[in-house]
Amino acid sequence: MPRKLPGSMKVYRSIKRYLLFTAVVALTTAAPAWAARISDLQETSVWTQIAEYFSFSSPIAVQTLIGCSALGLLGGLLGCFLVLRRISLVGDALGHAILPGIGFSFMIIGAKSTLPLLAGAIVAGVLYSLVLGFVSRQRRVRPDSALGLTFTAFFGLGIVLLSYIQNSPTGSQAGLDKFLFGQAAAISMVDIKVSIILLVITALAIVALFKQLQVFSFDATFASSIGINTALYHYLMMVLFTLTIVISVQAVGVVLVVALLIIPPTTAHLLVDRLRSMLILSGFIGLLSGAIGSLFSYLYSGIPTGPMVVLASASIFAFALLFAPTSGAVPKLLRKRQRRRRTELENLLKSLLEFNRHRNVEDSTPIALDDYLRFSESDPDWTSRQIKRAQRAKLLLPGDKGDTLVLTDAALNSARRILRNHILWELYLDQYTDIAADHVHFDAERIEHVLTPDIISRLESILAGRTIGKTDPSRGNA
Amino acid sequence: MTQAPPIEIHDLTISYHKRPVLWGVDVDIPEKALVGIIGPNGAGKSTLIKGVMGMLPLSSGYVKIFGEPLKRRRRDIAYVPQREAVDWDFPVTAYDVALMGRYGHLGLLQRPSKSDRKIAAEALEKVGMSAYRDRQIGNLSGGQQQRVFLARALAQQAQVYLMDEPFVGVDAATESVIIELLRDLRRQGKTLVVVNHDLQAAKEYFDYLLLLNMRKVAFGPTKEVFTNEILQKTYGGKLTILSDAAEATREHEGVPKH
Repeated sequence: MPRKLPGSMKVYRSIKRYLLFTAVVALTTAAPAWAARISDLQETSVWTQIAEYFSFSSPIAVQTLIGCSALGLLGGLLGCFLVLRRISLVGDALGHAILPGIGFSFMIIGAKSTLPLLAGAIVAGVLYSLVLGFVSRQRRVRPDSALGLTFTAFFGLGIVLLSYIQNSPTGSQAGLDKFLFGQAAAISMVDIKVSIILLVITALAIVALFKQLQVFSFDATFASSIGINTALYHYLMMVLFTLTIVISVQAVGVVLVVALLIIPPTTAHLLVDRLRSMLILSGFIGLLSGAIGSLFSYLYSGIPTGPMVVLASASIFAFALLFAPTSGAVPKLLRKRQRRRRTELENLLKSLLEFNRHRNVEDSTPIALDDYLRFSESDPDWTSRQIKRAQRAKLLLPGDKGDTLVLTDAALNSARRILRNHILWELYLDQYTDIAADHVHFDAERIEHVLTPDIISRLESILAGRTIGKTDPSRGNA
Repeated sequence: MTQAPPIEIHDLTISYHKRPVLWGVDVDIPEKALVGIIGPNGAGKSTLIKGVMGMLPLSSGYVKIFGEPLKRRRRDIAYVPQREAVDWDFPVTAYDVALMGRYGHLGLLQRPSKSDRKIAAEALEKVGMSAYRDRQIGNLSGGQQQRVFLARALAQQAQVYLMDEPFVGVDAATESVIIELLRDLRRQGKTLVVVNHDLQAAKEYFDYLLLLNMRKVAFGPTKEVFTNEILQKTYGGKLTILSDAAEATREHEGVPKH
C-alpha cells in the first residue's frame, strides 16, 4: 500500500513547478545586477547595452544569442543520454581529442572555414574512438587510465599544432586560440546553420526514436532481448555527440564543451522523475545558460563565452541542489525542522494529559502552570516556550483562573493518539520481538510519533489476535 | 508433424574472449513446463540463457524457438535480466518500465497504443504493483523492483519466459508472488525457464531441472534428476580437465587474460 505523503510533501510537490520559474527570475535579475556593478567602471551604462542587445539591432549580438541558445538546447537534449548512460567522461575525452583534427584541417586548407574544420574534427573523433578501443583492450591497462591517457595525448598533439599555427604568418590571424575557451562572436552564419540543422536532426531523432533510446539507455540487455540493435543506437548517439561537441567548440572551447552536455541533464535529473520531463527541462536549462553566456560575452568582450555559459548552468545546478523539492538540502532541513517541532508539540500535549491522569482528574481539567512545571521533568524555560507555541496553534486555551491551561479537543485527541501508539508499540515489542523490556520505552518514545494509520491498524489486529487466540502460529516470534 | 519444442538447444558452445564457458549443451525444453537451471557459480547458467536470447556470439551449435530461428520468434520469448543489471535512479516510473514490455511489438516509429497501455497496467496489477505505478523505480524496495521487471515480461505476452535469478534479494512476499505467477503462467500453457541457485527452492518449485557445470550434467523431471549422485556430479569439485582445456584454448588463440 502506498504510504501517504506527509502534508509538507504535498506542499513541496505543488511548489515544484514554480521552483524553476524562481530560478529563472533569480538568475535573470542577478546577472544584470552583477553586470551593473562592473559597469560603473565603464563609460556606457550596462542597462543601455542590455537594451541595445535586446533590441536585436546588432546582427552580431543576434547571431551569438541564437548560436549559443541553439547549442545549449542541443547539448541539454543530447546530454541526457550521455549522463544517464554514465559515459559523461567519454564526452569530455572526445571534446579534447578533436583538437588535433582542427589543427590539421587548418594546416591543409590554410583558412578557418567551418565545414573543413568540422570534417577534420570528426576524423579526429573517429580516430580517437578507435585508438581508445585498442588501448582499452590491452592487458593491464585499466579502462579509466586508458581514457585519460589517450585523450591527453590527443589534446597535447592538438596544442602543439595550434601553437605552431599561431606562430606561422598565416595562422596568427586565424583566431584558432579561441578554440580553447570559446568566443561566441567567432560563430559564423554557417556555424549557426549547421548547429540548427544538427539541433533539428537530434530533436527529430529523440522524438521519433524515443522508446528505443529510453529502453536502450535504461536496460541495454533487455533492449537487445526485444530485438533492438543496441550497437546501432550506441553509434548513432556517438555520432551525434561528436557532431555536437565539434560544433560547440567554437562557442565554449575544447576544455569546457562537455559542460554543455553534462550540467543541464544532471540538474534536470535532480528535479524530475521521467525521461520526457528530464529532456524538456534539460533542454530548457541548456538554452537559458547559452543565452546568459552570450549576453555576457556581448557585454564584455574580454570575457570568453564558454566559462560564462558554464557558470550560468552551474549556478542553476547549485540552485537545484539546494532547493530541489524532494532531494534539495534546504527543503530537507525544513522538513526535518517541521517534524522535530511536531514531535515536541505532541510530547508536550501527551505530558499534559499524563499529568491530569496522574492526578486522577478528567482529561480536560484545567491545569495550573506551576503545578505542571513541578511535575514535568523537563527544563521550565523550554517547557514554557513549547506551551506558548501550543497556545499559538490553538491547542491550549487559557483557563478561567489565572495561569491555568485547558487542553482543546484537538489537543486531547492528539495526546490520546500518541499515548495509545506508545502503548501499542510497547506491547508489540514486548510480545513479538526479543527486545529487552528496559529498551522498549526509548524506542516507543520515538516510534509513537511516526506510526502511520496503516501500521497502527496492523498492530491492532496482531495484538487483538494475540489476546483472543493466545498464540498466532503464522506470526510466531518473527 | 510433431510440434517443435519451445526451445531447442543443440550443441551450444559459448566462449568469453575465446575461453569456452559452456561446452556442447544439448537440451530440448518441453512445452508448458517450469524449468529450473541450477549449478555452482560460474557454471554458465546466465550465459546459457543469454546465448538463447542471442546476446552472446555462439562458438558452435544453434538455438531454435518453436523450430525457428530466434529472429522470427522474438515476440514469443521474454527475458527478465538480473535486477542488478540496471540503474535504478533512471527517470522512469514503474508503469514506464511495464510499458517497455510492449516495445518489442511496436514498429520502428510506432508509439504504444491504448491497448498497449492497458496491457502494461494489467501487468502491474497482476504483480500487485498498481498502487505504485507512478513511483520512480528507485523509490521501490528490491522485491518491488523485481515485480516491476516481471510486469514488463508479462506485458510482452510471450510464450516462453527466461528469467535470470528472479529470487535474489527479494522479500518472502515477493517470492511467493513470483512463484504463484510462474505457476499461473504454466497453467496458461507458457514455458518458463528460471535460473536459480537455491537448491531447496529448486526442488520445490520446478517440474524439470537442468543441472549445469560448464556442460550439461543432467536434464529431466525434478524427481529423476534431483539425486545425490547427480548433485555431487554438478557441484562436486572443479572440472579440472575442462577448465584447463579452456585455458589452453585461450592461450592458443593468444587472447589476453581478463
